[in-house]
Amino acid sequence: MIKIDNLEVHFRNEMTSTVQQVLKGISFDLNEGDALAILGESGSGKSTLGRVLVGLLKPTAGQYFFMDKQPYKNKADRKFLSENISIVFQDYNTSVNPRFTVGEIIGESLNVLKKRTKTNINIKHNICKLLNDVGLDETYYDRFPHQLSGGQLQRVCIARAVAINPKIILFDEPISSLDASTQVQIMDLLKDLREKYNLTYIFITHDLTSVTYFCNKVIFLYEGKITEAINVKDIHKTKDNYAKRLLDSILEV
Amino acid sequence: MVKRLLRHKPAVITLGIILFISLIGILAPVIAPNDPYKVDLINKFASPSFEMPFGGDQLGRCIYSRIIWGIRPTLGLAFITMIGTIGLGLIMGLIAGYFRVCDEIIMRIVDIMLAFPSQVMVFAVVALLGIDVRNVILANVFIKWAWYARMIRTNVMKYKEKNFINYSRVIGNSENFILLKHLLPSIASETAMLASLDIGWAIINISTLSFLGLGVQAPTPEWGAMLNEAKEVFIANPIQIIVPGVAIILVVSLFNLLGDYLRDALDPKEVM
Repeated sequence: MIKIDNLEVHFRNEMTSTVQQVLKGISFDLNEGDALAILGESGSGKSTLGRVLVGLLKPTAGQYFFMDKQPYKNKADRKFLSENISIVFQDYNTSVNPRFTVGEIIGESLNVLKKRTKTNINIKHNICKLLNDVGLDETYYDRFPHQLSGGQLQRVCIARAVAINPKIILFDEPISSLDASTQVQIMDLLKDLREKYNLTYIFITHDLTSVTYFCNKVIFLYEGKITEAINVKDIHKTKDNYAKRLLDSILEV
Repeated sequence: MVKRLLRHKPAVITLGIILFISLIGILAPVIAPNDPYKVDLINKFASPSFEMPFGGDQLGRCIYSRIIWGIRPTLGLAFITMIGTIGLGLIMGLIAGYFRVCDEIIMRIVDIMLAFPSQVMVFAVVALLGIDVRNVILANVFIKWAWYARMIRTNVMKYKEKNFINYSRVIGNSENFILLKHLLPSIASETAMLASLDIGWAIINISTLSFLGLGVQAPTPEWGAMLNEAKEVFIANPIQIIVPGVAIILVVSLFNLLGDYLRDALDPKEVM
């Protein structure tokens, strides 16, 4: 479904005009129905990789194939990518417009879907259905983001991401800014939604325990390089130092 | 946004008073008891009476009627100045901050504009183009747009990188939606706040220029021009200088208050 070949992202520092290599020679494949975890510590380039995958950041070099199309090569393919991918951000506060109600937030996605498919969608009915899907109800329809808790708002973000009928959803640390019990609830929700809508997940995180929850593949990213790509069930056999360190730190707890 | 505004009582009251004053200005021919231009030397410095609530000026014209007619040039010119300023500032700010076209060039021009002392600039433009109200407005827009261009550019760049706009990009929502539904409402409240503060500035500026004889010319009943005429007869007829002076202070304070209240009313996180 996604094939990445020798991807490089460089940033140029305008003050010193030095070039910073954020991603160096990334290559991996992702099949339909997979749940891929991208694991790495802060500054490893995992969020940058996420931005490339959803079409927000043009890579400096390398190939990005999305269902055999190249979104950074021509406009039609870019549009195709936007129709099939969705994203949930880490910081739920900045990821929704504070002036929109919950209904308008999810409605934005549905309006895009309506325009694209040119079918008549009952927006209000669909929003309520989506709210039920993510464990909320119709009473949230007219609420503003600042009237919701973090967990509730992240559920709204998930509903909005599911609303455009994507094939693949990218989660950029969706649970990192939530408390422990809410984290488990959200993970359960993601697991359910994946089965219900038959979705492919890409899960960016720095938390190894959440990876084992429903991901089947994991990529370790360290300083912009993939140090190891492995199936989750083989994770104890990892030879990578960073992965070992992570595993040890969890076992100690 | 409008709904939030209507729930904020002080903002509604201030806005109501301003609208009421504007309405009086619009209905000036109906409300004003006398012709503001009619010279009648019998009524020179007439004491306040039922026909002339604020008495007569040095030419026997009704001060009350002149104040009411004066709302039109005073507020009207200030509004036109602000619309021009914000319009130009918004276009330049969006071009530089959102579309990133000629960003460097526009911002350097803004820097140059901001380095000029504004009052001197107005005098220079008026001196160059001749004494005329249109030139005063032109000069005011010319010096003020740079403030708005810079503020709007900064805000646009701040909101452009917000995740809710990133999300719209990811799902391929139209550029129009991003601009009209996400970006402009986000920068609107801050711009509205600054604009209502600056309308006060525009009123004072235009009145100052009229007072100095560079703006609205006598016999047009503009408040600043009325002050200018009244200063000659200040001792003989103090009410003639007090009334337009108080009127200017009142309206400017109203706009300043409105600016404060708009900030409170339009902040989405403010609990009401």
